[in-house]
Amino acid sequence: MTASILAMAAGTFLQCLARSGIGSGYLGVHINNPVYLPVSIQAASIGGIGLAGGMTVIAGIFSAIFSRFLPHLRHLFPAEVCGVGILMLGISMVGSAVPRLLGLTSAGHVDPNSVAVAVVTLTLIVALSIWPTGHIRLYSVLIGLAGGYGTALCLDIIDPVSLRSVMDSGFLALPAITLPEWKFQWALLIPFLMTALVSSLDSVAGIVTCQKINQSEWVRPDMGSLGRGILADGVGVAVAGVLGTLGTGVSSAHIALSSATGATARRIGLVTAMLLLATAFVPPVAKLLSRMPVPVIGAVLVYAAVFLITSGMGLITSRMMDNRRVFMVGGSIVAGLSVMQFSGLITHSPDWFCSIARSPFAVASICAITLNLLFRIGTARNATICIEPQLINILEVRNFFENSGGSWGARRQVIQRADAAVNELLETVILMELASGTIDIRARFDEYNLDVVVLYSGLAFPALDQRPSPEQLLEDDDAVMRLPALLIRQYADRVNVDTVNHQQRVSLHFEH
Amino acid sequence: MEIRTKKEAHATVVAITGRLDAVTAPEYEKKMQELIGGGDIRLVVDFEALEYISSAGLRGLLVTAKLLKAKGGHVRFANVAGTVKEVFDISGFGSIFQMDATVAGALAALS
Repeated sequence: MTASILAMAAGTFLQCLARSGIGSGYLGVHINNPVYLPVSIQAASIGGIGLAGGMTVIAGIFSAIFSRFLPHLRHLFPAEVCGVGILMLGISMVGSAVPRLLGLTSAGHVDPNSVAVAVVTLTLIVALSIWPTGHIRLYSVLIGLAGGYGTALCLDIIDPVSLRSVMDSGFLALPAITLPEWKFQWALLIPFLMTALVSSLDSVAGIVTCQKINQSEWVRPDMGSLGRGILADGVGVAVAGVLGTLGTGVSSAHIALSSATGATARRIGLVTAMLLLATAFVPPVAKLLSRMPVPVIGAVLVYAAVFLITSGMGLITSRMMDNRRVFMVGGSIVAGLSVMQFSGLITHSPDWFCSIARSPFAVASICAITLNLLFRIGTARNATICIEPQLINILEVRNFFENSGGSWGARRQVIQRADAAVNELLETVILMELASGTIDIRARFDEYNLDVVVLYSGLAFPALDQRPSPEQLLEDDDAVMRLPALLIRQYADRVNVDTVNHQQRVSLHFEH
Repeated sequence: MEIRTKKEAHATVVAITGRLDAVTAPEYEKKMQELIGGGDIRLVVDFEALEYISSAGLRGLLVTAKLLKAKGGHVRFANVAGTVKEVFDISGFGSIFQMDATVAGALAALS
């Protein structure tokens, strides 16, 4: 227990500190990651705690190395792939939350007292995070937990004697840690490396959620911060291995609670790390937390799941969807749900494989990354359309942007701006009969930029962008003709009008 | 684009759905000319269901507003929001036309 608390404190401190290239700088509390449980038990049964600890150190080093490559793997983690991971994190919590919340017995009976405790906890948390104004929202979870503990005491869900026993070891005590003799075994290398990869993906999803809740205008994962966060994750896992406890990782439930309450400052994480460290010296605190009533845990997990699910859905729908993305997102979610629904499918698989295949998050994330890479084959980042200068053909250009945006997975807002700018340009070129032949529209997309070039032979586009006054608009018909250029400059981040090879060229740049 | 009209006590409400651009603006102008020609010179244009307006659509609004002014009529715009409102603000149309948050507000102002 003490070793776990120290490992969590170290990981949380590094994650929130964000100094010397380590740590995401977000409020990411580290907890023992259950994904390490099957491989660690297997290692412990073969070679004791020393082997489990030694292999966990290796897993941590692997995560740290993986973090150095992460900034170059941006294409593996577009917003919709991260969204699938975060959504599945939330969905996978439901399976462990609801039985706790209902106090389900092995015979499938619901315990009314457990339900009462969970309802009080959940009602307090939800009500205090929705209606009050001011700082009380920050303490909604704390107040909910206190209400849950109180109700559990009244309904005899926790024994008052067990609460009094938390003081048995005294208020202060030096932590007793026995470092194991670290061992290594080649046979366990692949299982531990795969577990480390899944744990890192779990933390990627968590840190992306942190980025999203801290940036109202979030567009895409910040790979620099992600890389530093996963490095902290790896070092935290290695520290856990050194101390002979289970590997740690960023807790998505804590991130969801942080999002729900609005308590997102990284200083809170640093204080949390210090408090965790202090609890290693104050046994009653750790004992009190370990006696948290089960329905209270269920209520908090439900609350966290709600935020993760909606956050994941928000990320997925932030991008335009074509059939490739529909299959990638939907297929990955189906794969994750299948693991939850039909756990018997992997009963006879090796333990190391089960640690990954039993996790709906791991299955859905790996599926999403793989399908995303697979479906990139044949997706052109450049697209071109050629139209005759007639108003009716502008509809084709709208479809061109809709289809291209979907296949690129572009942000709908950016594609709509590009469509509106090109529409303005084409209307003007066609209505003023500037083009003497066909009009070419060429678009080039990458994750950061959308560049559109419109080429035609004929007269130059009047790129006057001085806004006419209201009086000019009412009295001078020519003043209205200044509006297209004005609007185009508002839609696009950069506009350039020139001549190339005797053709008129209008270049529009959009930041993505 | 779809245009629906509804006669109220003090004005006629013209609700536009879809896009108002170079392709659809002539249809809008024609409908407005019919209404004005038929004596409906107190109008409320409801933009609630309008998804997009281009500069050609703005020109259509201006042409009919000038026609209405010549006939001594009044027009108010209701529910101008989102991207349509942005276009109004950028172009300066927001300061030319009288705008109301709701159709009811526009009708009350014309009564």
